[in-house]
Amino acid sequence: MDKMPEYASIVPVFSVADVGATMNWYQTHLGFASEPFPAQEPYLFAILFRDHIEIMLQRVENYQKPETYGVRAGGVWDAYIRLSQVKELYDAIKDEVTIIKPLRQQPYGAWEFEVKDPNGYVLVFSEVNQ
Amino acid sequence: MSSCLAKSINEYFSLEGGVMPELKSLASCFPVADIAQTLRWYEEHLGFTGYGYPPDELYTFGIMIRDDIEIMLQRIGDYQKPDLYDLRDGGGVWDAYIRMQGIKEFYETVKNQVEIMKPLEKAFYGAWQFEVRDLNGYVIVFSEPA
Repeated sequence: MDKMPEYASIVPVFSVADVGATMNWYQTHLGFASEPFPAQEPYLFAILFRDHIEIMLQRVENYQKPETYGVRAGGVWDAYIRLSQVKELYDAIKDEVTIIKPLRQQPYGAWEFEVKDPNGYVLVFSEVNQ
Repeated sequence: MSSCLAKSINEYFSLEGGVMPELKSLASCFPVADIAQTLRWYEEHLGFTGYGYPPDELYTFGIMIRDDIEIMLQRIGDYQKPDLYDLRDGGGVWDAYIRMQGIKEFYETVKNQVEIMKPLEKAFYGAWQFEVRDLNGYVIVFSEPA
């Protein structure tokens, strides 16, 4: 008898036109390390990782993500990231990246802010205070 | 795109001091037209437990949880996910990649219930994986290291 099936982690996969430029942005602004494939440009794929989370990039030539943010009251997100010290992260990056929504407390208690990455993917950073 | 002059986050924390915030977990977020129907599909076929909000009205938001993972749903009334699957050479375009254990047993239980884009096989980088397309068109890869 083998192991019971169990899910361990989920990784969002973003379609992007330029894997290398996206890797650089995530490295510079959010501190992600990356493993691209193949080892030399042009990269077709990459895994970005930091702490307990990962994001994958797949190259789709000339891809432009459709803009959906304004279609829904409250915005449309691509990934929701829970962290410690959301205020420190906000202060560190707020002048360097595109902030869609500034740091504020949501009605459900979490402190959140929203960042748009260079391809238009919206990342929510969230912390629930004790 | 970032300019070369942008201050990196690592520089910021080395200059300002302080502890680098720790990224603890990530939930994938999918826009969908019908949250209740999506919750049911994931509960029935993939074993998630789903919650819709606000509880007594048409759901505009949902969370689905199983084991250590979460997927969030956001309602866009008439949303139709664009089909990107064939836009990439050498493999399909994915939306989420789920790392798991017990993939062979899991594949046997789901393969006749859901749309399989790629059957269970060993990828060249060593992982066992298969690909499912969900009711809204999202492509989910399940994977286990060999």
